[in-house]
Amino acid sequence: MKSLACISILLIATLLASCSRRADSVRWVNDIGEANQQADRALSEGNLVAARSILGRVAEKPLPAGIAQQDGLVVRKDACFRLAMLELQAGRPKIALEWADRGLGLDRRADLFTANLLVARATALEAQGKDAKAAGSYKRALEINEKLLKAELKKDSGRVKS
Amino acid sequence: MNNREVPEREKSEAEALASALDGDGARAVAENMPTDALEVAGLLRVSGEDAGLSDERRDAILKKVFFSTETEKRRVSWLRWLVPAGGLAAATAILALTFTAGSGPTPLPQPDKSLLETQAAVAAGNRQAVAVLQTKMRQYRREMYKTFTENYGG
Repeated sequence: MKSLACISILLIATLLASCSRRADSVRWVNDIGEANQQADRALSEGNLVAARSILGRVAEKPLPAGIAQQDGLVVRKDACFRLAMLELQAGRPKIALEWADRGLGLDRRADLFTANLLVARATALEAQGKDAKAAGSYKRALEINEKLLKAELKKDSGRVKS
Repeated sequence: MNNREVPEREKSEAEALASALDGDGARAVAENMPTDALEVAGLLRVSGEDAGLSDERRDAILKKVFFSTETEKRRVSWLRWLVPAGGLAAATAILALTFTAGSGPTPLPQPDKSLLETQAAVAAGNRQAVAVLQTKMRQYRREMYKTFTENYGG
């Protein structure tokens, strides 16, 4: 009987932990989605201060246990790209470069977000007169972009054939 | 005959059974003899004296009763462990499901040709394309969050 009671407690605790974990993940997804929409609104109104604050929170937001690490990285990299572009728009290329480098420091796999960060980095370097360094980042961005474009065209031709 | 070594417990129970047959019931109880076997031993002792039951026949009956009681004991003890073991297996399965489900990365939507072409234009130095890239990224982001919601719920 004692064993049964222990197992029941363990099962209930597991179910509660599972529910809480799921609720944290749902909250994270909703918060991040909502924050990006708020940032869009702030940018469309020309409110760079509000957009900066919202996107800064997205970039710093801790990842709940139920969210895959890779998904968290994608969201953070994208927030860093957005912040870098915002700082370029605000005429602060140094800060823009910091955000781009911060995003690239998170993960450098060849995806859309890394290519975006490399573009932002190159633009920030160019704005500071560091053309040679900027060219290197543009080149790497174009390499990733070409790879992604090839994959998309391959998928497209597969769709046409079928 | 069976050549296996007889465990100490079985030996002492057999001795207690013999005592019961000889009429020493108190010792048999003290030795924790299986109750069923003890009762049969008592019956056999009484009936054996009057009914002329042979010693061999009496021993055979007792052996049968004694071993069937032992088998039942073993079955009960096995069942006693089956319930917690089953519960533990279920708990492990739930834990495994809880901590593995949804932990894989979300398969993100493939960026479309138009978005990638705009990105390439910006990377090639086209400043006009920056605003277009931002607009296309907004659309892509919406798709991406939709996928996250499907994967994690919400």
